[in-house]
Amino acid sequence: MTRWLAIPLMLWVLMIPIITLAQGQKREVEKKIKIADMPEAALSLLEPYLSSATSIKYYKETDIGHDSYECKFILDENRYSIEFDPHGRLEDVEMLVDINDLASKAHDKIITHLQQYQRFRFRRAQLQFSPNVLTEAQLLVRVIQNQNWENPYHEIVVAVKDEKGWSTYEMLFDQDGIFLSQKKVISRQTDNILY
Amino acid sequence: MRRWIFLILCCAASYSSYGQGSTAFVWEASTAVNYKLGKDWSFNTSIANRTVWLDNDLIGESGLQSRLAFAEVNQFATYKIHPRLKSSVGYKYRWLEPTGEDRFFEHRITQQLAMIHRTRVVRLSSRLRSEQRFRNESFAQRLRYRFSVDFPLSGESLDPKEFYFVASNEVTYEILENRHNPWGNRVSSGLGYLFGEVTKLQLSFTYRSDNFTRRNLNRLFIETALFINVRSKS
Repeated sequence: MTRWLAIPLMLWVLMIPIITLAQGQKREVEKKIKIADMPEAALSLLEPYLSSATSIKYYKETDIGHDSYECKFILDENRYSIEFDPHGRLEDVEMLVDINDLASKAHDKIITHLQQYQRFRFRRAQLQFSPNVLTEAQLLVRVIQNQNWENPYHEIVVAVKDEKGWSTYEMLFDQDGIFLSQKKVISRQTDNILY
Repeated sequence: MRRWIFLILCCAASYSSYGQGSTAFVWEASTAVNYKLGKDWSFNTSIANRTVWLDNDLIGESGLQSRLAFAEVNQFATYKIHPRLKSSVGYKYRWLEPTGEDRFFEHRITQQLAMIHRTRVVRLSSRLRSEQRFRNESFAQRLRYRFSVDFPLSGESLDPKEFYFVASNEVTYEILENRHNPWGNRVSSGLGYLFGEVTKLQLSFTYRSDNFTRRNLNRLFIETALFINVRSKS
């Protein structure tokens, strides 16, 4: 009997070298953090908005050579994501939108770009605002308080099918819908819900 | 939202395991390797076994007794119809009572469709299965529907060295030759841990009610599963 019980345990042990060898790919890692772990400068900037916001969550993102802090919340039924560098300087403000709510000029250009693929399906669309000529505080007032969402960049998560099959990408387009960059999204594995 | 789902399902799991009486509990252990071949094809090979633990009331002796109920190998081929819909066919060979004197076996052919309804933080999915089960001298057609929910417990994405929660409910229906067709239900919840990009270990508890419209055989299953996901380099 004991030897039968030992079979799965032995197999797990035998699999360890395979597991170790197979760790290769790097990717962005996001960890939920407490408010105390956020940079103070970031919290000062957010203070006017968080008192009336809901579902407030804080994250730390670690990528190759780049760490950032993120605060996500819902305010006036809009979902915002505000990203900061480790010193608490605002990097960008993102707001979740429906893909059909994008300005028609940008929307049409994005669709034209995606038509190079055999098929595509939108997963998520966000408007992205960076400080540029505005100060950090001015940008927050403009986007969150005044709800002025003109000339945003567009961050689109889209599943596309080409000759290699289906893949999911996070693509960045400028205010006119001109393609700027993309990175592959590693989807959560489905083996534990398939079998 | 995740906190509420977690609490409700943990309460449901503890309630269902409460009052087991003299019911045996069962341990199922599996190891599965998932790998991609070609653009939209993936394959899953797994081995598993089930050990049944009988408690004192059932066997009239002191101490727990265990016996190996089966050992099996499974092979699935899955085609990604689109990112949220996958179809699979599978084959299972199971040695029943492998330590016994008589030789019992089972062949099982599976067809399934799996749909992911929601791909964000809380992932909702459905799985519809049709199975043809051949045992030594019997045949059964089985239909199964499973609804699952899973989500990472730290952050919005599941990253290495993080835990995730998974829960599901599955309804089963068997069509047997010249016999009553039993219904079954399997409610399950558990925790998984992602070691790296490719490997995760999952521990779950499943409360199975077999043939619940008649004799209602209830058993608690403890399931441990190791998943190894070998990704292509593309």
